[in-house]
Amino acid sequence: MIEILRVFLFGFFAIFIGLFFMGIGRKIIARIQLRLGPPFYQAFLDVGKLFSRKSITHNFVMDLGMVMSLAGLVATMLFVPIAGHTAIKTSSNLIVIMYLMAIGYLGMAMAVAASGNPNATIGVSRALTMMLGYEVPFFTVMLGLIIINGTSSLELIANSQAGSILNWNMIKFPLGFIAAEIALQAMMGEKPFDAMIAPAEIASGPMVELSGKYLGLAFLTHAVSIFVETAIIVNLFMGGASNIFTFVLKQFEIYLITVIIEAVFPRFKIEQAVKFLWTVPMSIALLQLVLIVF
Amino acid sequence: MKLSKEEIIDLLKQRGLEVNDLYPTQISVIVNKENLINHLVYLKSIGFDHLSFINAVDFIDEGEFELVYHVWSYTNKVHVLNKVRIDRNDPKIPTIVDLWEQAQFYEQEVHEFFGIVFEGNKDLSPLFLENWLDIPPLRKDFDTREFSIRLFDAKPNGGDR
Amino acid sequence: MDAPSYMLTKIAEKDDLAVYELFFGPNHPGMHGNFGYVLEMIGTEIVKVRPNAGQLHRGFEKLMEQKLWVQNIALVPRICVVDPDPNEVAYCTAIEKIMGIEIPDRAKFIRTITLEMSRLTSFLMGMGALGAALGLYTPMYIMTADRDLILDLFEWLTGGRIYHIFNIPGGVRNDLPEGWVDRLNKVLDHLEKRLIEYDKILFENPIVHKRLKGLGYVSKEDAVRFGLTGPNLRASGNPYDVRVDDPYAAYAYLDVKVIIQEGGDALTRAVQVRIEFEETIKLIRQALKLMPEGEVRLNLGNLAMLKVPKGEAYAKVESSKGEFGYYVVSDGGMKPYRVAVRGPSLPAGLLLAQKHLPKMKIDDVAAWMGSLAICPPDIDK
Repeated sequence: MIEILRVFLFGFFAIFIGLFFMGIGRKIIARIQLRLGPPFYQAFLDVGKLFSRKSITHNFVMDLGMVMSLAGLVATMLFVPIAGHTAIKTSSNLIVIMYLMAIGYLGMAMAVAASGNPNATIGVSRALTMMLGYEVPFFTVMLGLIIINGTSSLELIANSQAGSILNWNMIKFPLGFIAAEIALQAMMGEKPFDAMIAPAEIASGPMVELSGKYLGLAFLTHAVSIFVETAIIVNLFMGGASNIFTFVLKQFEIYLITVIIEAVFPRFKIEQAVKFLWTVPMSIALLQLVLIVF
Repeated sequence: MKLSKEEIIDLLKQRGLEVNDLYPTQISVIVNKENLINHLVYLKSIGFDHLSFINAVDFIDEGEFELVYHVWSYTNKVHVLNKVRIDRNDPKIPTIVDLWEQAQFYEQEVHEFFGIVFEGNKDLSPLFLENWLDIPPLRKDFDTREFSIRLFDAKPNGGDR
Repeated sequence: MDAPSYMLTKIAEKDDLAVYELFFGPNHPGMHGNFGYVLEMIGTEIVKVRPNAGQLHRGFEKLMEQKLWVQNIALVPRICVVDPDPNEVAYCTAIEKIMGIEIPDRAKFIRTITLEMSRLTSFLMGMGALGAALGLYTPMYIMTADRDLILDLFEWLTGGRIYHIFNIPGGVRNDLPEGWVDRLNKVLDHLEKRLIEYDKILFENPIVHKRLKGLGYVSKEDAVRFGLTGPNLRASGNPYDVRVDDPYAAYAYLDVKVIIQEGGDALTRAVQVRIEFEETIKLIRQALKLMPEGEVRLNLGNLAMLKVPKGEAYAKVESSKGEFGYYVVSDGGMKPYRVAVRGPSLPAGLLLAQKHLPKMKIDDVAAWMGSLAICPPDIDK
């Protein structure tokens, strides 16, 4: 019983922090663009409004796909250690985490392709191509860290950086950190790698057919994905944390870097994005791998 | 080689055309329907390479449409209004798409609003108006007030309330 | 619904690949205005294009035949939304040509200054829209805020922010108020300082260069042959500008610099707009220095009873998108007999679409439209 409550608690915490970060991110982007911006709690109001609307569905596959994408991400979140605690007792294997994260994207792809809008189909194909692009450098960096630590458990990697700030992997392996940051930009779907949601080209891509509650579910999926991905980076490079507040603070620093880069770049075309991801971060990650092995 | 406005007027008068000197950089030429393409080819050869616009004017009292072809020369800096009159009851004229490609769209617009048929233009389908069942709207015998009352059941002056 | 809803409707087949139809349509975040292209596509590559125009058709040409000469000045700016002043000036210049009158010198200079200010607002919106089509929203917001400063000046002078209805046959409505010129100078200083920021974020952005390079190439001869005008023509290497070739208002007294660039692709056109922006600021300063004193309108009596003698004229103006032309025919009465409007976006929006869009990917359509300054209201009228 306690286990189920723990799972629910972690789930709601992830959604809350994700939505909170989204609101703060919008405020920061607005200040960079010389405007006032919406209040901090705007994302909560948006989700509340969306869930109170009627929505149109095409068929059963669309319902299933949307729920599957949110469920996949929440399942991923259960394995990620947050300040040393995980939602369920596990060894938090890194490979399992990356595998489960793909379910999120595949769920949305299934839901949106079932709608029959050509804009949505183009958007989904771009999202899956982008996944192909960023997984390669990210896995290379992870491979390096797994080799040096001798384990693929995220909790143990985080604990191995205890001590002082000079023990952090961010300082010990800076090249890996840079490559992972660039791949993180693509993982979160932020510019310059947001070809999936390109409003000016394909009318918002996958979100064009989602209305009302489905759009609310897409928002929640995005919020949980922010939480999960920043948590993985904090555990890998910034040494986890001893309590929740420090952990959330470190997550916020990573998110801040993402948001500031997003405000000043346009978007790549999908071919240019994949080419960039397979050359620049990949070569940095390979260099890091070589430095680790020898 | 730059020709002045007076030289252009002389050259055109020598070809037997009626020329009016309107304004410091504008002249107008009256052309027959049969000579239109030869005349435009000649103008293109003396430096008039920019087709600005094609439009039509409805002279209902004289029973004629007048088509105006606006050409401008970047070297001579003169604007020529080439005016062609065609019969209102059977409005047909050959197309000039082979000389300037943008003419296809200008002619499509004139066809839609006046009903003039341009022979040789491969696409005269409606461009702006959808499901239009009346006469071409820019003709002078198209009454907009009567059209609104008939189509939208509009009551003039608010009807009887 | 006959086909199952999860399948795209296949409209044809070409070499064993299905062709489907996509509406890059009137209701789209990447389209400027209510205009659409119906695209037939294979994968993400376009095969055929058909324009879907007419949603912005408001019937101006028929409407103008039923209203008095001076009432039409309220209709005319609405033909082009981003750059409305050239319309008023062209219409009034055509009437003045038919009547054979010449407006006072001070009125010519005021017309020039308002035309150039309107060109500044249009360039700000155009550069912002080009950035937004690529996904760069930061300069768009900053440029909208700067455009507001110029619109405030217009509101002080004419009473309206976007549609001014300020020019009349015979001059302009009223003189410049006290302190307007100082405020205009302050705004111009502010804009010149801002140009450095625009350069850093938009024009020297490496991803913008990568996206726009080589897109929509128009060669030097093709630009004249297809009827392109304005900055599109000059970015392909042709040194033609209506303000120099056929001067109107006060341009005969000013020294207008014609900016020419070789290149012809979308990046050159974007840089062309940026350089012309700087030149426009210098031109306004020049006009402010040379402006004489005097009256600002001729006394033509009651304008509502204006009768224009029989005749015809074609007047053209250089707007920020190209050559705007008005052909006015008068039969001697109180209402025009025919007013025909030549909009500058038709050759680019309709003809170049047939030449460039097939073989282009869907990713580039919005950026292509933004770089050619295609503005649908003056295609539809």
